[in-house]
Amino acid sequence: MIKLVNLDKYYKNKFIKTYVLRNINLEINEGEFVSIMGPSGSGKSTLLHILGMLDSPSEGEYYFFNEPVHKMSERQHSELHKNHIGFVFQSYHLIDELTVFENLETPLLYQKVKSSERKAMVADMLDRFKMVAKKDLFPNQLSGGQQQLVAIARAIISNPKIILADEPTGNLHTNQGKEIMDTLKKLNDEGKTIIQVTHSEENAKYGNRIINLMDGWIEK
Amino acid sequence: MLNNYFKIAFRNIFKYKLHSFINIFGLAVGFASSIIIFLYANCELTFDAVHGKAENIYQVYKERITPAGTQLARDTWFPMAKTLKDDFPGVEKAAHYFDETTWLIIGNKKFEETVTYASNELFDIFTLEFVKGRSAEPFKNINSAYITETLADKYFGNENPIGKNINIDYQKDYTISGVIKDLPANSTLQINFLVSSESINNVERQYTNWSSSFLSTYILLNHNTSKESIEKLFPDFIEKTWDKQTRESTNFKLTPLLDLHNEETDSNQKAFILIAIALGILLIASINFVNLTTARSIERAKEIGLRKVIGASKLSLIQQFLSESLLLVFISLIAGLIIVEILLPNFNSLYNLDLHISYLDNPIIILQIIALSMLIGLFSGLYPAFYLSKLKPVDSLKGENRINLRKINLRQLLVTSQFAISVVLIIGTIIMWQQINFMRTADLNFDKEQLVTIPITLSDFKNKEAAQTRLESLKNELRKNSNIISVASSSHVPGMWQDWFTFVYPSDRNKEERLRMRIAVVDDKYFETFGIKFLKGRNFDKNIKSDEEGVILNEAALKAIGWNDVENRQFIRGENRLNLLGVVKDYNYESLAVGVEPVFHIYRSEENAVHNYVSIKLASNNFAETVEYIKETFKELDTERNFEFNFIDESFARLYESEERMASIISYFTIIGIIIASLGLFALASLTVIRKRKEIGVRKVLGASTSKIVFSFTINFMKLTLAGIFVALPLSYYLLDEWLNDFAFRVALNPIWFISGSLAAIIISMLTVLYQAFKAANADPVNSLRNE
Repeated sequence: MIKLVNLDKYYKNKFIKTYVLRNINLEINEGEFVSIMGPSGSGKSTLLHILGMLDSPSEGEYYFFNEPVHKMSERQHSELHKNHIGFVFQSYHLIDELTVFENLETPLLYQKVKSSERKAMVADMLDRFKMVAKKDLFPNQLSGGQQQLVAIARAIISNPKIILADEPTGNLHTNQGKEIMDTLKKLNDEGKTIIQVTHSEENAKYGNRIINLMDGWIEK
Repeated sequence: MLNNYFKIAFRNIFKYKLHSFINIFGLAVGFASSIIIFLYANCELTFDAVHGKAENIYQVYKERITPAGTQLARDTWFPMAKTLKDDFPGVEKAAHYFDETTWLIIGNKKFEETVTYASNELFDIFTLEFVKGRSAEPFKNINSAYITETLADKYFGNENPIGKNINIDYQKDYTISGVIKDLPANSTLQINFLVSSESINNVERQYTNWSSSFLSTYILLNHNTSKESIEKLFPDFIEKTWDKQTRESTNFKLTPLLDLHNEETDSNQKAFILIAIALGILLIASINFVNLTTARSIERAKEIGLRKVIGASKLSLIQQFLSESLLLVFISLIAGLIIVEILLPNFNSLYNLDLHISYLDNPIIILQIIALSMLIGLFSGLYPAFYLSKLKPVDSLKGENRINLRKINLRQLLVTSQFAISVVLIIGTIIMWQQINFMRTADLNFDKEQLVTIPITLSDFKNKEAAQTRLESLKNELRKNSNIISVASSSHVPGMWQDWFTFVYPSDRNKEERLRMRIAVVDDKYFETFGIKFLKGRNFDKNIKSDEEGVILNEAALKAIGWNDVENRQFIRGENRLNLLGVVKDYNYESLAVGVEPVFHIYRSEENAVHNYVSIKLASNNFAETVEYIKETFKELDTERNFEFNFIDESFARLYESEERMASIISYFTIIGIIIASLGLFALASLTVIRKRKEIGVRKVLGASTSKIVFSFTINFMKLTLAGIFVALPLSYYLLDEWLNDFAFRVALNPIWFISGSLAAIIISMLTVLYQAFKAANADPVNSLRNE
């Protein structure tokens, strides 16, 4: 499903190249639950952003369902992650000015889903995450765990093949974190491919593969 | 989708109340001021457009070719209209009219009113709508009179005016046979009371009168006839009517009716100055909008990044931001229109105008207003939209704002131009008032204080001989009062000077060298009463009989002729030979906006019927009492009418009303512009405080003093202010020098005005920014650092 070949990411500053990722070769299959681990500054988030097409590699190849992502335009990137990729962030990143319902609805708006269908899909999602009563609240009226649940619901509402999670439990208490990880696990069981960045061994155990990054290199 | 955008927009408006207020208020006030200005300018620029055939209507005027250049005069002769129609192919209709201020006698009441005498084709050329008594053949009955609705209301109230009799000047009776709609203020033709020019005394004599010109003549050309084709025929016509010499010294020309008002009053320049100011205010308000929106991008960056992550394309983001700015602009527009509705009546009464927006009668204005606001919305929304939609999602989610640094230049440029506009407005206002003040206080070369003038003509009275006797004894009685210094009679008085020209030439030169001069008839007390000084020669003397053939010139006249002395100089005027008796200093008989032209004063004794005014010089003590005494004395002269008492200093002040009106309109809009600009600056400073909160916190932890932080914060804004001033100074110098050049007597540009205008801008921007600077410098660094 995902294949990275000899991928480098660096920032050029006059004559010095600062490498963030070096010679990454990676293959991830459909249905996997992969955890990317490593110390701060090892390039975990950058790798996740490249996988999510929010950032582009400096060199190397990236195939998504055998399509060469590294040759695509920004518009095609936007098409791809609109349809196939869901994102979950450490600090939730909900739109503060929108209610829970409206936050969930927004990705569907960009996919031009019809109004009635949209309402049904959002209602379905609210029901599934047991948040019907909270649908008219704004993000700042929810606890962190609830916000992250909304963020996950938003990530999967358009039925993506793959969910990218950047330290999804990083800002949460232990109990709330566990609930989020359980949810992700359940989604994986339903067939979603999940790639998470995490610091915690505990969370890494939910997955079935661990990739260790160190100074931009994948440790074998 | 749009729904979603508007929802966010509304919630943002409420969330950031201060910024929304500044945006909406600034734009609303900007809209309101520019709509009012546009209405005013439109009224001026569409002068005479109310007449349906205006495009084919022309006024005939003449140009006198003199050694000093051409002199333009718009008065024409009685037979002119008929001749043009009969002899010039392409002239479909021709009409003339003249106005006369005279007395209307209705029942046993007497009113002073302007009566228009016109030929019947006036109705075919101009658009005059009948309200009552529609007439297919106006003036079929030579004693028909037509009055306007206002006048009908004033004299007859609810009664039907048709068929009522009105007498003019105890001489002629007229019957009202129609009521016409009032002409709007922006029509050259103004009618109160309209009668036929065929009804004047001895009209038959006028049919061939090519010697006295006192009427305005208008023609209506058919569509295929050009102005030039008519003008080409004039030289032959002049020679046929007068002689070859007149042909050489005179041009006849046509002014299109639609250009007439502008040529007379330079109204387009005023309208364009105001439109420029309106655009300046709109620009200031739009710049606030652009600046506040882009400056807030840091707070919105997260939302933008997120939207991109969940599938928003660049286009949909641009759409979102544009719809947000259009929404804001639309709210501002509504608020602006409400402000217009509230302020317009005040504006109208303040400046004696009749501006209004007739939304229902004129759907085009709605479209224009919507188009204007769309334009402003796009103008101020487009840049932020493109700017914000370009943000990279990864950067913006991290809270970084990489392109921000580079784009600050544009924001600085915009703030600089706001300052530049404001400074030009401030300096412009200062200089306009300086010029007006100069004109009001300048030495007119005569003493305008304690001078009362009463317009009084013997023809105002039923029994002229009796009136003359009474007037003379009245004047003598006045002279007995110790508080009255002198009493004079004259045809003209400074401050209310009317055009009257004559042709004269020195007796030792040819008739071809004749000069057109202003002429005034005065008595022997005129120069003394007005305090006009003699440079050469002597005053008229009522004891010297030959002074009836005497002349006193002003300096300008002496210069125009090229003489240096007054001894043994004679003029030929018509058949008469006149002796030059003296020369007076050039005194300003008109507004200082126009120069002093040659004036030819001739003498008639004070009881002569040619005099139109009695002028009285009072002593400075017991002034109010003396004025009261004069009023009482005049009441005995004629109990049926009220006398008008004009103080010469006030008449002069009135001459500057139009300049004052212009300057005061501009002052108001300058203040509005500056308020909007300062609000924008205030908000921008507050956003800068937010952005620099961390930097300021770090500096404080490192030991920076409050004053240092305030200084470093203010200096940046000060640089922008100075840059704005730098742009504004040459621009305002150029613009105001141009404006002042239209005045015959103008102030010299004083550097102090430019300096004080610039200082005002610096002080305003300092005060605006300092508040935010102190707020930032006094903030607890712990709070600002923890926030990260």
